[in-house]
Amino acid sequence: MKLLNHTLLFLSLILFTTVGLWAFLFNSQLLRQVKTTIDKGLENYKIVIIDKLKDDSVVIEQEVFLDNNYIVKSVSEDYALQVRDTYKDTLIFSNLKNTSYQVRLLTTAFIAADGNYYEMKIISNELDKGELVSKIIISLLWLFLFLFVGTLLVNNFVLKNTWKPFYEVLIYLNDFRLDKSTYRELSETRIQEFSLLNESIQNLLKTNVDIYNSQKQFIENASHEFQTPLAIGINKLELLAGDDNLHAEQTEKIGEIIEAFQRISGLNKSLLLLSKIENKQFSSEELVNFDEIFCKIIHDFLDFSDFQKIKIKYFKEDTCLYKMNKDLAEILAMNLVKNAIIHNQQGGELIIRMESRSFTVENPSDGPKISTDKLFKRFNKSSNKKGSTGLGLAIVKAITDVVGLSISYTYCNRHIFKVSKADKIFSSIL
Amino acid sequence: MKILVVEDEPEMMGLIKQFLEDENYVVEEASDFQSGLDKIISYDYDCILLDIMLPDGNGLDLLQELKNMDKADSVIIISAKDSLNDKIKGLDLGADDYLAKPFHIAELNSRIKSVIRRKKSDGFRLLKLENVSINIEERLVQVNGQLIDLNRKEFDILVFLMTNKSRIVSKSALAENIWGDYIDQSNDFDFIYSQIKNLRKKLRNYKADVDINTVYGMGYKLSIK
Repeated sequence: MKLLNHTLLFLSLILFTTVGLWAFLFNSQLLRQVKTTIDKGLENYKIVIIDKLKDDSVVIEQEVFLDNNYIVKSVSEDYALQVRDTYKDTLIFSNLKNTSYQVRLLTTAFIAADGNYYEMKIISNELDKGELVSKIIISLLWLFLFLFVGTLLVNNFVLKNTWKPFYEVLIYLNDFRLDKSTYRELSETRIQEFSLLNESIQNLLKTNVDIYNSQKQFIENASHEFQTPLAIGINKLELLAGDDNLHAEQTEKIGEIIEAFQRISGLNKSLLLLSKIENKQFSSEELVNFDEIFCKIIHDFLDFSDFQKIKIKYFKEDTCLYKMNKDLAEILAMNLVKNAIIHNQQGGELIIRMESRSFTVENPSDGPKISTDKLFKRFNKSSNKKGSTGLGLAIVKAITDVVGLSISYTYCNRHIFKVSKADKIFSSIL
Repeated sequence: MKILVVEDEPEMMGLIKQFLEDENYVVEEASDFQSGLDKIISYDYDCILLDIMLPDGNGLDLLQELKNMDKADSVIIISAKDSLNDKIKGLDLGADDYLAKPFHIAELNSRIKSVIRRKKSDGFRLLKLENVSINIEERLVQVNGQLIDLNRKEFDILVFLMTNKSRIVSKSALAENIWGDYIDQSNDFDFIYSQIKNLRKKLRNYKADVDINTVYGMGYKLSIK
């Protein structure tokens, strides 16, 4: 949920409850006020009538409400004395309108000039409570609508404006790549919290860029320092091997030493590659077609797999396209294929399935299921197969982690590695 | 043939020099940026082997200088930095090739020969040894004037071995050269054997004066009968 909608939702909820509560209180308050006013009127009216009736020598009893809006009937003294002025809502049937209507009724008793006690009931004018309530509700709905529109406007103009530096930071962070050392300043903001946030983020990123650069430098230097003595060693041995005075056994020994050197060199290269991947030094991205990449790699490995009598089967349902670094995509595919060849059975098969959102590389194996947490660890060798450095799958894992693909391993009489596209979260936020 | 080697590591320099002199090249040395620049300004070379990391400067700047002077010397960058950026930058600046350390002597030899061959006029683009001649441009191989039908890999293997004649070529050097970077680090290069076997059979069938010998534990060597 977007921040703006979130605040809007909360504001609306609060608005709805407060306005509702307020409306209820307002309504009852208003009705009470109306009743009080009417009752006051009735009381005044009572005084006027009693005054008038007192003067009359004979009080004419009136049994029904006529023009005068009151009835008078004679009662006993005992009864009259216990009558207190009471007000109540009541329904009156009107012959004229042929319907009942709501009025306020005052019941009282008085003693007339002739000494007789009378009970008098006075009614107010028609009181349509329902209409009153519905009018109030309609006005309140209007009020609510105006407040809601107001909130929307506040959200869209005020909040959006207020949160602008925040969104800028978000875009800035989303776009930020350590390896692209185009370090730019964030724009100034007058809000203290945001300016503090900007400052902290910039400090954090600056430290990271510095660390990244020094680490990159270190890796490059280490690579240089390792590779040169290795190169000297290998090349000296190669020249030495060319010496015609050497026995066959000596040449063979030299060959073994060269092989060992080359192993170190290969390990060094793989480790450097791993740190380069983990340091995200493969920056350029393009839309990579894994179908093309696998076809090329299968072709390149054909001699290798033929020699091991391994059949490569390629099933293509759809092309798998993904935006990532092309070199990494090739290294990823190559390591998976190589892994599947090296750990295959003699005369086994290698199955590659290509779908639009994923691809799998499968190979049969004599070995049991490998525990997943060990599988992608560096130097975790399940067997001492020739040509295995124990880094291939670590490299695969590092690549998938860096580019946002996910890799899963399942075992059902064969090892199945599945690489699939993960859903990107960021695409819909902004 | 005159070759300039710009390399700050004395051991490496000594090695390259020894090997180049074995191949009958005239070798000039420069161990830093300044002396390299002096030599580039003063002389012309058929090929320059250029290390990128120099104590007093960057080899790529030297390449830039060369370009500014409009010199046509071929340049092969030799770098311990197996960095794609440097490779692209170097090739953009007009380097002919890029070789990452550690490399095989045979590979360096093959690259130098190929760079020099590209500069020569067409008539010299033939690789000849005894009764075998290879036209690299047209990818044709003749033994005693008779065309042999070789597949792409057999052809590449033969060229690589001919370029490194009477030198032991290790299996890994061969694999890297012919099968490319994918295969390196895989250590098990026995799969090369089937291609070699076919090539050897074809050479024998056509009665070529060269043969491919297996050097046990090392690799292969092209020998003259």
